[in-house]
Amino acid sequence: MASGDQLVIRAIPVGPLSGGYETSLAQSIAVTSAVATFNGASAAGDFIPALAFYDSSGTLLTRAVASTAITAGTSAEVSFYPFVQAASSGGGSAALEVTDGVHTVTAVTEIDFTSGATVSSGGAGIADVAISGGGGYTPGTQVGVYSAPFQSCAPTVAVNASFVHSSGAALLDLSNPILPTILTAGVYSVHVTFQADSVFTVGSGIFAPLAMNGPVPTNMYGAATANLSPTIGPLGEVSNTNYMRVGDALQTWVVNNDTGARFIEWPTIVVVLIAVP
Amino acid sequence: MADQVASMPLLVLEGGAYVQFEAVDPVTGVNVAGVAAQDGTFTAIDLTDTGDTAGDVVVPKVSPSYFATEETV
Repeated sequence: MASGDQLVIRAIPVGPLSGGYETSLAQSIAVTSAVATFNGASAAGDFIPALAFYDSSGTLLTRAVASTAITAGTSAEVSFYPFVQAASSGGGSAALEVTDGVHTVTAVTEIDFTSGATVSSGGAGIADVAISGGGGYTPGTQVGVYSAPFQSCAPTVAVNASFVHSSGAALLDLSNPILPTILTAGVYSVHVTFQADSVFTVGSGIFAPLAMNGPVPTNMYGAATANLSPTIGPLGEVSNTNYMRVGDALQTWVVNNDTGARFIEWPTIVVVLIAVP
Repeated sequence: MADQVASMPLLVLEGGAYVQFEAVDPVTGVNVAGVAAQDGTFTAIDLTDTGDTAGDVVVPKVSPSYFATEETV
């Protein structure tokens, strides 16, 4: 046999893991592979197959271990080669994981963010985010929506007002929250949804005008079709578009044609400045 | 039976050094009793055997009772 030829060393038969090979005193070999069936039928516990190298004095030089433990009672055939790595059982890239610092989700398809969380692309890409509300909740997005009192709501509700145009100037003077006035002249579109605060009987007429610097429009919600109570809402809606001067006021109300009473609660008003002259 | 492939170092073993199969505990790293290595086979490159002298190693065989010895010609 010429120097450098391949040796096949059979470590047989079975042994309590004493199966191995010891070089003679005049021999030098480079082990290029090893294979064995690790029989764990009588194993005292789970184990990891290993191939250990020792010097002549019994000092451990290195121990190569498999990547997966074998359950006690089972067996596995394990092959050892230089410079290889066991294939990933997943067969693909790791699942995407997303965290907002509070919630961490793996295998992400969707994630609920906490209030105030910022979504960014983190690079040149664009964050593709769909916002949806569920379970009775709505997205915390408020653009130019003013839940203000005109007749009976508490003035403190006006703290939610966000009436500014693109220059940053306020559009409405809310110092009198039941009668907001225009601070910037222009063409405005106003949409109001509301709820009446008194019971309307079936068939009673409901008149809901929206006054915007001029003749009171004839926006009508129509006749009640059922007994309406303050717990039902919104009761109706009105819209109008008009040119508003500085100091002009917005005003709307609901009239119960049967009693002549004017009551409105919890109006939600959207004011859009369409054009500045 | 689950087959596995594991990486091993490419070491040169000289006079009296040896290699053997072991089973270690996944947590403690100590040997686990009761595990047997069956049909163990090594392949190696003999760096010293010229093959032209009586006594050269050809196919050493190892077993619990025949451990650390070689067949000779």
